[in-house]
Amino acid sequence: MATIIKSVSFQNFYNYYGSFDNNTYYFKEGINIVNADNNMGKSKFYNGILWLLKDTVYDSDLKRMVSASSSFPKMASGKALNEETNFDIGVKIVFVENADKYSVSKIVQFKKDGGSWKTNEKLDILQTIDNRDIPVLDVADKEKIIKKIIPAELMNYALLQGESMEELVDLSSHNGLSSTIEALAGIKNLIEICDISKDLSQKTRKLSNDKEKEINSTNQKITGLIQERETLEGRIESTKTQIEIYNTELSEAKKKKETLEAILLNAQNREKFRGVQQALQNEIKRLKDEKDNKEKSITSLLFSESSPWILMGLQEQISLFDNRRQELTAEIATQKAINNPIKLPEGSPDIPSLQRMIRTHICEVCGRPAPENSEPWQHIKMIMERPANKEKSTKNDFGSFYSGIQTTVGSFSLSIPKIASVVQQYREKIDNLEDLINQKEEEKETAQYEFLNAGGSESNSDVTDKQNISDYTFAEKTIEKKEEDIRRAEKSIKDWNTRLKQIEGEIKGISTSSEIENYRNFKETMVSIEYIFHNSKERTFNRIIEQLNTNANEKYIELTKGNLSAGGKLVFQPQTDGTVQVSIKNINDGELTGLGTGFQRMKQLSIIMAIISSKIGNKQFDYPFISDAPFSEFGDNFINNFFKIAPNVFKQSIIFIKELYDPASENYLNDLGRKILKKMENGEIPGTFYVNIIEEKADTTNLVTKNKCYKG
Amino acid sequence: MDGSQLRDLIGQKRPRYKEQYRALIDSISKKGDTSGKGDFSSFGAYYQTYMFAFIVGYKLGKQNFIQSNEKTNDFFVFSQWSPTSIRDYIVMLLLNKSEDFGFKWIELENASTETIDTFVTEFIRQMEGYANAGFEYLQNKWDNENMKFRNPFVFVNLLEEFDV
Repeated sequence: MATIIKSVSFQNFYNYYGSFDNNTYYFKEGINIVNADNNMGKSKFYNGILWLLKDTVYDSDLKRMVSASSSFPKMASGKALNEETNFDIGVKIVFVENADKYSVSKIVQFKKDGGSWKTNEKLDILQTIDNRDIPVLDVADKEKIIKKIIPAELMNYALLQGESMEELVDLSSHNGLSSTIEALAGIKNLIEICDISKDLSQKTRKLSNDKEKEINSTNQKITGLIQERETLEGRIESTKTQIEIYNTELSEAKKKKETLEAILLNAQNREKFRGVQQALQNEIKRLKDEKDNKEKSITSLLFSESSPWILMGLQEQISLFDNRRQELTAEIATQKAINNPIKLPEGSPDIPSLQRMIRTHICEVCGRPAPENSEPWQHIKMIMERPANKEKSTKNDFGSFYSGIQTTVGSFSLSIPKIASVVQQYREKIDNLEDLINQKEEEKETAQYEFLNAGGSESNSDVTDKQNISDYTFAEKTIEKKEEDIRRAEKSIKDWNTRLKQIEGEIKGISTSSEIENYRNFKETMVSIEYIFHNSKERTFNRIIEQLNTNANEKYIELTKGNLSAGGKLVFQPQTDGTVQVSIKNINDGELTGLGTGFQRMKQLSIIMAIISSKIGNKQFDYPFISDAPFSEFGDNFINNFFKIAPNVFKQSIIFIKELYDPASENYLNDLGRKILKKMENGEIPGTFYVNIIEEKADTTNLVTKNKCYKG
Repeated sequence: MDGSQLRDLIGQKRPRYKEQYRALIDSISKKGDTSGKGDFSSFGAYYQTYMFAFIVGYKLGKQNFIQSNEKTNDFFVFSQWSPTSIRDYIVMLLLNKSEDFGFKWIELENASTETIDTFVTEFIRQMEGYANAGFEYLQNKWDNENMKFRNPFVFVNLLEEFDV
């Protein structure tokens, strides 16, 4: 019953230059890996399948799906366009479905006509019967055969592009939910009956009302009550419509909140680390300025008035100068004494003796000590200098010159000896500032790392983050307001319904017509029918959602198994507007926010797997599961888990992946790639393993991708 | 003659430096900036560079006298140099060595005006001798160990070299 793709071939298709024979990948049941670095043909491969199955391709320049016919020149190999004037581009898929084998080729013929290219697209399908290839010619038959590869209603789940995974299964929108439920349960008829029964119920209600009015047209009391009933019914209807609008707005706000939730923590973190970086930047600038100022002040400190560093080590010169001055004074005194001898009492010491006494600090008259500056010492000095005080004994008098210098430099006698330690302290201060700057630089680097970890980049401006935070707050307020609006509207409807019942009773009590009873019964019957179908639909929806919940959680647990950070559990919450919100909660039912994109994608992948599992029960999925870059946000653990459980869900999967690639390695595989290959080689993981390579370096227009089959 | 006259005599002199050190002095001085806050490896005013060179020469104990045939440049008059205290310290250092260049203080007290003039001339010549020896030393460092001038402590380090 299953469809298995046996091979996919390309001819002059994007990077895949050359014939089909040169660009063929043979696939098997199990996991088929095409491992390639960026720009080596993964998405081109995926585009080949999209072209063949859906007639669309993903235009990486426009970043959206476009019709294949509008993109033919881009789909052609650059090398073929440069070197040839007449060539074909194409994709060929060979597949088996049960015992039948088909070969489907889409080809565009390129022919140069003057300066432009003429193109012609064709679709060739061959069916192999008894080893003979029979061309299929009927257009409708061709379409049916293509749908055998993957039916249209399952393409959403079987053709997966990593980047668009978030939008693939959107249970929070009416359309997304309906198409999922439809894919799983096929209850389109039931939904149609629900709509019809609602319409019929409204019509019978109107008929009954009109008849009642007609019969009781003469009874003013009844006419008044009917009038009031109509007014209330009108209000109830318009309020119900209003509630639907509120619900849609509520649902949109919740969806917005959920979308923002995943990025909010990152946005808040970015805001936080952006702030930390800015504060550190300011601090670093302040410290650098302080250090700069200190360094610039060094030369001025050499000439400081109070402690000039330039004089370090020269402190002895002050006392030397002082000695010289004293010597000069003594010499002048001696000179005076010689020039103007003073009669001293007999036995008094002469000038040389007085000089000696001043120097040795001993009074030679009494034999007692005369310490410097003591009263006896001053007395000896006065006697020695007395003649100088009275009259000038030298030609010049430079005493004031020397004493002036002495006064100026005298203060340095205390500061110069301390200069060395002052310099040392100054050096330490600058070193400390340098250490502090380095420390802050490191902190800034850490903050920058955290900022980048939170998804920060140049393009990720704080304006966007602030906008996201503000949008989130707005969504929260909208949810609160809409829930309040809905509560108020429902209360009004409840009150009006109570009044309607009263009116109904009053009319019944007054009216005597038996004819109206038949209309009333008919109306009530139709209301009941509407109720029954509506409930059936609700029950079916709920059952499917419950089943999805269970299955998705099983897959989620398997996919996140062994991960270091707990991934919580998936919770499917029916919304007031009939949609379903799927969120990730922790064991205490608290919302788990801040999980990375990897977890969010894992959630989506779990739901996709659950949808497929729900559809097929305990069997494997009968169609190929083809996915481009599903793991671009996943860690090694997720990838490992996926390879473990995918073969249980999908009979065949074809995965384009770069997470196993290492351009520096001899075989282009990283550690994880080598591990997976080994598991394939020893049969633990069934399937094939290809690596794309570029043999000759060229610009993107001339790239030629080749493949190496490591495990066929 | 009294002290203030002697001070004036010395103060009105313009100490000279050899032309060959002009480029060096330009490089390590910030002309006209008396704040002393130039780039960290340069002095404020030119005469501060001169005072520094003098101290270097003095600490080296070496003099490089200007020969009569050598081209020279001069600075502000000595009395205008600041800070005054350091200028006076330089005067003190030279006075401490006056006997070495032939002048005893006591003799100066009795000397004639002509002798005092000779003393002042010699005093300034001695100052120039030390300063130009300092410039010679700095020039050598500048030419051969220029990297040292990227260190903000370069001038402090140069002084410390003599104290080790």
